[in-house]
Amino acid sequence: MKYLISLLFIFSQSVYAQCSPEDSDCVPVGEWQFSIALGAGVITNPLNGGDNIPLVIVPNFSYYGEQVFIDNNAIGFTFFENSDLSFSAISQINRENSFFERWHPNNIFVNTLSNSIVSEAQFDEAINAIEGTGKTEADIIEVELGQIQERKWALDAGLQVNWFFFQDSHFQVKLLHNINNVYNGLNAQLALEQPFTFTAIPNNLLTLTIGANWQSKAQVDYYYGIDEQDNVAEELYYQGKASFSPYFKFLNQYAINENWSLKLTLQREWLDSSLTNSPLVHDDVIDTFFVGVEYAL
Amino acid sequence: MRYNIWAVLLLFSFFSSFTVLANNKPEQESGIEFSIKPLVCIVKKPGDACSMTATVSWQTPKVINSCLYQGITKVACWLNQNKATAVIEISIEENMEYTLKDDNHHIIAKQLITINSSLAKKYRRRLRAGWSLF
Repeated sequence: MKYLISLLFIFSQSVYAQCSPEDSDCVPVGEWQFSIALGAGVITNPLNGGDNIPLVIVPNFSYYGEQVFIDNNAIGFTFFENSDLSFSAISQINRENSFFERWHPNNIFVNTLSNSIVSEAQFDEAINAIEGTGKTEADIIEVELGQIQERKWALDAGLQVNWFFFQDSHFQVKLLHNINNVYNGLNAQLALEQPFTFTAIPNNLLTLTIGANWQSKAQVDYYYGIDEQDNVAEELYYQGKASFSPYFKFLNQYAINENWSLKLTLQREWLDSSLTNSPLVHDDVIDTFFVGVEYAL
Repeated sequence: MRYNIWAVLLLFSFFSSFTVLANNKPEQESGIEFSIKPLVCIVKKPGDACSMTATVSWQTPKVINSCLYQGITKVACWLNQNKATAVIEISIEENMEYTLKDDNHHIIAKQLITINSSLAKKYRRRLRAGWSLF
């Protein structure tokens, strides 16, 4: 750890790369950026008995100093940056627990009405019960979220590399390790992002992203594994393997004026079989949808 | 007839010299020297209003009545002078053109005062995929 900190300060002598203020991903140094989106959307929950996460009010904030940055759920320190590459040490909240915990910071703005709405998983179960599923007995053995021991939320830290290339293309890699002794493993995130503008619609920005989330065996086991600590029969115990889940994201933003914009985002993540084989998991995809207006302060 | 051709050529060259003069800048046309110092007003950060003391001086070959304008606002006037120097207080929020006009409100000289910030705003790229919860 001591050597890592020394290395950070050696490399941190490099200056950061300036960018053009007109670019959508370019922010002023030393200023907070706040925006709030109001609309309708959802993040589906793949767990049995897990509530979908409604997206009604979505806050977004960031601060970029010359080297330090805070961006929503992440905090980072950029120790090297040039026009193409950026290396940062970061720490961020792990996503997985948002499917297990209703009080997660990302669920603050959940619409209270949603408690009375049947979850997608429950709805599917009801339909299957009526129509008949055709599944074998083994397939319908499931564990509900309410039956298992509470999972904790995890804080990760590690390295983030950003590569800017071609025409505004952006490739991002994060390799993170749990630092608050929750699952004591690794995870990694890959994302390739490409924005598109159209001369016929000058205020419109379309961004397509393909990426993948990798979870180590330790992380899959902690969140999706089932053992003696969970209050279920031994036949339902499950031990996970490392998982690799690809995703595709469509984001369209139309600027009405300097402050207001329309947003539409669609995302689908295909869960690895090491996750979907868990008796806790009901769906093999996680979908995100949001449409609304955003106001930037 | 021969004299008539010479007369036409003479008249032509006479009027064409006026045309050349008319295409020149106001200062060149009237032979005026006009200056404002300093020409740049420094502020701490972009968008700040700028205040400073500046020295205006001008000189013409002949005696004239003239006025100095900041944009469309009259700042100072001089009667029957062929040169003058004045100290003026400048207070501007954006780049501003100062003009010297004669009796007929013709611009005979002009100068642009610009605002520069000592701390120009810096920018850097966001390092995460745009608008995502995670």
